[in-house]
Amino acid sequence: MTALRAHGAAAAALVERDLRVFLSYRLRPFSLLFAPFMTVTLFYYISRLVKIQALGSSDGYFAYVVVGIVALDVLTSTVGVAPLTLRQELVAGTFEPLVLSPFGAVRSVTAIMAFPVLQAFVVSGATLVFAALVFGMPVAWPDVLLGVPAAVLGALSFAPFGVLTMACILVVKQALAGASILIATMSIFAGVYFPVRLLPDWIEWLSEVQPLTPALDLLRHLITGAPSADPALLDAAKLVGWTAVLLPASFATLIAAIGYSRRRGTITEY
Amino acid sequence: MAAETVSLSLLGVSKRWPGSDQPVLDDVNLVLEPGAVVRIGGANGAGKTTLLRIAAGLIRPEAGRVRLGALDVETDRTAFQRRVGFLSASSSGLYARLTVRDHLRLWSRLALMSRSDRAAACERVLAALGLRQLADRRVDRLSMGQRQRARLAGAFLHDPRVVMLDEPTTSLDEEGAGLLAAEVERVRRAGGGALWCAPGEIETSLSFDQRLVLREGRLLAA
Repeated sequence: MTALRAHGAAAAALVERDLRVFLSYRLRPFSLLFAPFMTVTLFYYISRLVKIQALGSSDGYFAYVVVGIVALDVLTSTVGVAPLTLRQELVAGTFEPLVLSPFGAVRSVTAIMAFPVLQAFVVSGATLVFAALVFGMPVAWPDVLLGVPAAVLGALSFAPFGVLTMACILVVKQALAGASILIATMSIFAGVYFPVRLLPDWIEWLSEVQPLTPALDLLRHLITGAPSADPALLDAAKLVGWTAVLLPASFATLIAAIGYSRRRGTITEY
Repeated sequence: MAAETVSLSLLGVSKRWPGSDQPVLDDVNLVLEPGAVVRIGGANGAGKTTLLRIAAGLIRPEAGRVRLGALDVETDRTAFQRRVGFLSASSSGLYARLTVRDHLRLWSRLALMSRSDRAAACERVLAALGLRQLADRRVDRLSMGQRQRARLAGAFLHDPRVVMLDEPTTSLDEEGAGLLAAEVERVRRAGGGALWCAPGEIETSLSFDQRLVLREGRLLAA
């Protein structure tokens, strides 16, 4: 067995572990879908009250916000849920075996991110199907299929923020509030619920310095056929750029955080 | 993993907790020879757990080195961890909603064991620690002693050269302590070694090759 296969099996084992724990709560799959379905329903009726010139119609706004909800779910899975999982590992004392395993702390922390992201993809897919079937949200066929690699690219560009949050958790133990603030700030300035052009001119620049904006633009174009602010390839290039710049930096920070907390002797404290 | 006889050495290990004037470990030297089982005693807070955590590579000392044969705990980390089994002094480290078998499958993959070895290794430790009947029971439905057996199974699962056990008999009944002793003997017979930390005298059939005590940061003959 090659080292690569062994490491892949170890990463898959952590995903399987999270899946088994998830499925051990029998109603969890239903409760997981309930919240986004209710949110979509709520926004459908809000959209009946709203007419934004830039989005054309109530249906245009509904499609706009549904894709926003889906992208926000993927962002939350990387920046919020994965660090929460790490925090729970510390509290339960289950992080220690991961640190002391040949698979190691860095790879384990990385693998911990996989299940929340996969779960977000499944929920996002179900949310889009729900919105399309129940409320007639337009779906751009067959471009919508390209939404899957675009979502993967988006998740990769969000991942550095999750890795940085987990690095903070290993050092200061409490960083989830910061993650929540980051998610809320990114969602406001990227245009999850409303176009960024509604923001004051002096603050619109914030939408340009984060990966959620091009991810939303790209996903809306591919999933619903909405006109995009930038060409799709430019949005994809921006996401690749964010990933290429931030991912190595975030892993360097994570490695430093693990080293620091091992030197202090606090790596398994909570 | 092919059997190999190597020494675990801690050379000049010192550790001081932030904000503390006194070092918890002060220039500690220890060589665990192949086939040796060493007991480390000491009062509560003497530094036994810290010593074991440093030896296992969980935390880093301010000074000193930890080596297993030619492997350095920092620079050869993956190879080092493949050869070391560790049991911490607590009842934690288990996932309440997973079964004993789920844990062993997870740990065997984290140990980077080959697919062909994993199933056999899981079955072996289940039998060795008397867990066969409990293999498919969720951990939150086990007694504390049964959980300790499951934790021990994780420490011995990947056929380590050296096992580091911190208060391993916690919650174990007589049968469990006997099975633990047999597992340590198995490691010893294979040319491996064991570090066994406990604050007071323990009831075990195991014979120790050396008895040491940690006192004021120094490792002394008991």
